[in-house]
Amino acid sequence: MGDLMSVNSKVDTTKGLLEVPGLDVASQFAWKIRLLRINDKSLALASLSGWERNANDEYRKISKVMRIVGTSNLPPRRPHVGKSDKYDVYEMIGDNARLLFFYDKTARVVVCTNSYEKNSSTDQGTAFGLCERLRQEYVKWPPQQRIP
Amino acid sequence: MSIQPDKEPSLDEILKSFDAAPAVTDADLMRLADANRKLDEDPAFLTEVQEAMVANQLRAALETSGESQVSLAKRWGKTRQYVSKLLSEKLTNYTLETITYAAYYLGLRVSVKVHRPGEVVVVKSAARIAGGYYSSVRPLKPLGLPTTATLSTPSSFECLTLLNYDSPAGDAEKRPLAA
Repeated sequence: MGDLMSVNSKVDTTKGLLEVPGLDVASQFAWKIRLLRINDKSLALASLSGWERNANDEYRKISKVMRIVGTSNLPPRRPHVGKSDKYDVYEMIGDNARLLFFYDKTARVVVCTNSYEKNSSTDQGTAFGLCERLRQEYVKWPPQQRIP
Repeated sequence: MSIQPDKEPSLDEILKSFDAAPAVTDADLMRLADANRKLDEDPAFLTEVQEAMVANQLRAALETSGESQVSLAKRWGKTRQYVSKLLSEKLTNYTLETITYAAYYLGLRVSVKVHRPGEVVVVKSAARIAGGYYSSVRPLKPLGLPTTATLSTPSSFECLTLLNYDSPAGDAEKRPLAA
């Protein structure tokens, strides 16, 4: 019991990984697709929810790319996935919507972090910078925090 | 809050950006789950996914081979524009013959399997060793090995062996093929 308590005390329950609601397991057999949650909020989940509600074509395209990423051992190429020139982070490409992610090769997880939209106030460099910074934070998490 | 592109944000800035994210309600989650299930039951969407995956595999194979689209088109007896359209997914309603020929000229084979929802198709290489058949999950590099496909479920052993992401060809799991 004492051991369990000490393990649990190291886990910050306000951050972790979320499943993509309704995404079939068969669409994730190469990589599990997960959404990064910090402070009980998820930028990626909020974006997916927003696209589903207000931009269904974008949601459909990002969902398609999500399935391609989840079933491809190697990172897919353009026009579906782009890679940052500067960092080891990627983007799923819709029409204007972009969902940024990185690979956790140890846990076989694709971690979706944040998003941006072309022609919006956030540019690609800023979004990739945030994704990279989130990746750096994520790798510092204890393993039990990274359970997909 | 704005984050400068040339400067990676501080932890404090990251936390603020998450705090500012809109809350997602249970109703939103239910709607998202429902939307994903509907997509998986939409044959037009499933076709889009399959077409994109085939084109992605052909692009990857061409890149790995180092051959140009012009050279591939010449060997295949097609125009460069045709090959470009096929690889960039601008050519739709192509036939099984088309992708079989494209794969053939890239030194690959196409295997089409019909399976139940929730199952996945795993590509394995097969070899006859010491009087018995042994199989291994196809190594990611190099492409172009003779392959067969088998039905499997996501929780099965075949899928688990696929997790040998970086294993070289010789280290792949070896075990008897199912009868």
